[in-house]
Amino acid sequence: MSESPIRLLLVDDEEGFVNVLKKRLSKRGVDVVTAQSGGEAIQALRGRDFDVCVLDLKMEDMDGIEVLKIFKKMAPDLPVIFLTGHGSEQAAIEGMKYGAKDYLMKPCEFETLLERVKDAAGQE
Amino acid sequence: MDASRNGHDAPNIGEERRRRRLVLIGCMVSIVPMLLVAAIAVWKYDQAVENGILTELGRAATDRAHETDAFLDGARAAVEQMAGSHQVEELDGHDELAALLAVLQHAHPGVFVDLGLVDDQGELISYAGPFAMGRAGYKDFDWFAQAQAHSSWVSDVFLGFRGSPHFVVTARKRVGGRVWVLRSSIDFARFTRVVEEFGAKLPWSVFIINHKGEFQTGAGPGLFGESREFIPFFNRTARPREFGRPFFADHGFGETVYVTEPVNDGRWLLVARLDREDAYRSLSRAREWSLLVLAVGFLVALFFKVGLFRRMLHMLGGKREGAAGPVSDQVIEAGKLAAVGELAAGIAHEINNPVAVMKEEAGWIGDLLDEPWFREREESKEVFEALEQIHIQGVRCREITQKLLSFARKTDPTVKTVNLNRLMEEMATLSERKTRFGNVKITMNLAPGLPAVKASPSELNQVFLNLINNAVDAMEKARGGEITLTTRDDGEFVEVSVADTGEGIPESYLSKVFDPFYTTKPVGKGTGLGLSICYGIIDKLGGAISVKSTVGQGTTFIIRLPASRDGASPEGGQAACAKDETRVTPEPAGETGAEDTHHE
Repeated sequence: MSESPIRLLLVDDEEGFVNVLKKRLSKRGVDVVTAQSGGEAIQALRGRDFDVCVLDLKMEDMDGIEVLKIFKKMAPDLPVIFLTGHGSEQAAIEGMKYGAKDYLMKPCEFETLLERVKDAAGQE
Repeated sequence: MDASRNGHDAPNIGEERRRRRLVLIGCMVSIVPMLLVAAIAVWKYDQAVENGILTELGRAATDRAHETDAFLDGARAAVEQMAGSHQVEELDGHDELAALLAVLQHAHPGVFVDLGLVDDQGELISYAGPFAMGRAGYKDFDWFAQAQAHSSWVSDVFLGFRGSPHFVVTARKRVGGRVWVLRSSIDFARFTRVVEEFGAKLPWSVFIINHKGEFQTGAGPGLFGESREFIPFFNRTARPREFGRPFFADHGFGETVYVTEPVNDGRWLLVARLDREDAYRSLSRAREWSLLVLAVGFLVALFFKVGLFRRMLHMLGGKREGAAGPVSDQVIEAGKLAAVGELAAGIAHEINNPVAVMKEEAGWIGDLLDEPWFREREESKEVFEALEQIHIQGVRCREITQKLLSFARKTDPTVKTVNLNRLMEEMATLSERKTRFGNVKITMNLAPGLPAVKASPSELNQVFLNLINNAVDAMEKARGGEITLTTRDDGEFVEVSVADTGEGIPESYLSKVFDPFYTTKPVGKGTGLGLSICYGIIDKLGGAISVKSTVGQGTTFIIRLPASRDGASPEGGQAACAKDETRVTPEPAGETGAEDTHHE
């Protein structure tokens, strides 16, 4: 990994999950910013640029697809990977129509997540 | 050795009977309360009407008694007044009496028949009236003594000289030491009419008896000559507290309602009687009507209810209920699966997140310890093994929850035309890693020119991957074996079988293999849901899944799906799998391509 670190925006309302993922990803050289709601995510995106975003499809304040639509206006080139619970693949596929790059079933393997993130950021 | 969850093989003879019983029970449940209410209503109505009739009878008897007394009192007063206001001389002589009789008859039309003066020897000394009396002697008659003893008197009915029943009203006239009696016969028919004039509403009869039980009126039909029957009756009923109160008695005329009232200063008893049967005739007519209305209502309700229950059963049983086994079984199955599904989905969602966090935290510990200073330590190997175990168990949790969710998921995937031969080839490829690992060889035995089927390709993937995974697991003990995938054109159906050379399933377990949560795998190895899901999918497609097994030789699952012979060459199998294949990514141990294919 000679390239500059991947800047990742990780959005999920499960605090324990984002915290541990941030630590693990950081250890592997990913620059992680976490947000636990759609609102926080939009705030974070306003402040700085990201290479990739991992976005939970179901959050309490906002639907992931709503967040995606706003992201597409704020940063049209930002690749978004949806995290979706089992049984809501349809929603994830719907998300792809709105310009999401990929989706992952939750809970996913850490290695898979890392791979997809790298893939989306164009570093593989 | 053939357990079949087959919707099309066996016609169920008992189904119609079971269905009829369900309808019957349903109808009973709703109609029995209605009948009870109706019965109580009819009973209460009867009581009310009975009370009404009895009350009316009592009141009418009292009215009659008053009328009767008024009639008698009027007659007595008139004769008494006549005697009081005339001298004996004025009464003695036919012409004089005829004039007075005319006066009486004018004042009381139709009451007085004749008029006579009787001297103290009981001899009729003068008379005016229709009968040729001559100088009749009344000395021995009962009434004569009473007439002499009372200022006025109403005699009992007697036959007298004329030989027909009648009674007299008398008035005493005392002049000097002598006593004369003025007597007048009362029109017996008229009196009887007064007594009997009871209103025409009910067919009752009214009569008067004296204390000897002798009739004092022309009694009702069939009552003459039986008066003796009434002597004890008089004695028993002539008690004040019973007057005017109806009671039931049987005096040889069938069950009868009686009301009694005293008349003529209590010397006579007015009796109103009504046959029970007559009394209730109007009542029973009213009841017949209400029963008719009730019966019509009952039939209408029954008609609609039978229709309703049949519709409900039909809806519950689904379109294929006619051929798809006993209705009750299906209903239970559907209810069970739905309940299990809901519960499972709830649990799975709740458990997913904590499991993910636990797994990642274990990973993080691994990350932290993955440093030379720790790796050099003696216990590092054990710690990494423990962490690996946490990871593996987490993956297992994940598999379970995802299977539960698959089970609960309400899918309505697009149905496409699927070439099963092609699908089998894809399945073999997808399972390659797992089969190679299990030392299992897959043999294909595909029928050329196989008709296509209409199905959701991803659902079929799920079914066959499940069966292949099961087959591989079944051969684990034998450390390998062979899976044969066979397709066959069976006319209306396309048949696919997945046969293994594994340990086989004992016969007693065969019938349960499709039940949710039933598993023969060791604890923690299976959820017992895979075959339930397969069953659900195949059943939904209008097909059938069955299993044959011989212990020690292997198990064969046979799936039959309706053939679809319309349209162009089926490429759906590949097209549908193409999407899934993009999701197959190499992942670390514990994950298989097959799992990914149907979970993502």
